[in-house]
Amino acid sequence: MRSMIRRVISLSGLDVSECLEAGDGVEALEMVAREWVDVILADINMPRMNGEELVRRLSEMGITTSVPVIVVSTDGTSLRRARLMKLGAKGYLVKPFAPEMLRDEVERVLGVANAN
Amino acid sequence: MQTEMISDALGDAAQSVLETMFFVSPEGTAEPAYPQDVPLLGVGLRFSGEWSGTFELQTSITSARTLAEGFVGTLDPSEVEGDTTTEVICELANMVCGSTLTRLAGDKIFDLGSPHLVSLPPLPRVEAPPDSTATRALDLGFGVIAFTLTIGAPE
Repeated sequence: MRSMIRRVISLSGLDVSECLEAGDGVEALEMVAREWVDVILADINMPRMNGEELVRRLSEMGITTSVPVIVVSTDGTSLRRARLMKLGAKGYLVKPFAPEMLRDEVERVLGVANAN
Repeated sequence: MQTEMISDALGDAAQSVLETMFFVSPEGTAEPAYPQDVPLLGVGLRFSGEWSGTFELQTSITSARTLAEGFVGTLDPSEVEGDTTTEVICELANMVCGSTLTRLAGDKIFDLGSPHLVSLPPLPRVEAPPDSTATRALDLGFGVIAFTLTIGAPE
């Protein structure tokens, strides 16, 4: 999924200088502690620390107020979506999604209009 | 839960995932059978929550590689190594399982486990009523892919 997302981002027309990858929530937390990022895309299903716990931790650290988090999940239920948004996620993308849906969601949470 | 309902949800979810993210349009249903000399790839995962159970995917290694090429978006098959193929098929299993459960479960919360390679024949069946399991196989045009979902009791 990370390679596919990387490809979509690179083709999106968004001005991306660097795309960092973390293998799980623990790695992601370590990464945002030492790198400045503009947006975080997090899958729900990750080893060690899942996406829900990651959003919870980012929110507790106050990071979600300045860095939008988009959760990517196969779970399209409204309960899960509401839970993640309440935890601090700014976007929620249900898999499967077309590449342009990912681009649109990134643009929406970043407040970028018509990047292409 | 009736077998037919599970089967329909499996078919709809698989069709949607394959078309949207793998750029493959299945040509209809197929028998979940392969010639004996075709090497197969099997992936399984468990899910838990208000619903629990297992999900299994089976296809030929050749078909798996073709699917991985579509997902990664390369025209050069040499760019797709064995590990990439496995990762992509695990992701496919995750998406089809999650999408099927979303279609069936309404607002029930469930958690998907990590997909992993399974030795064929796949995972042992969970304790489940006889009409709570279904298999749906699709003709990809370049091979067959089969999905099996078994829904058991809550965990």
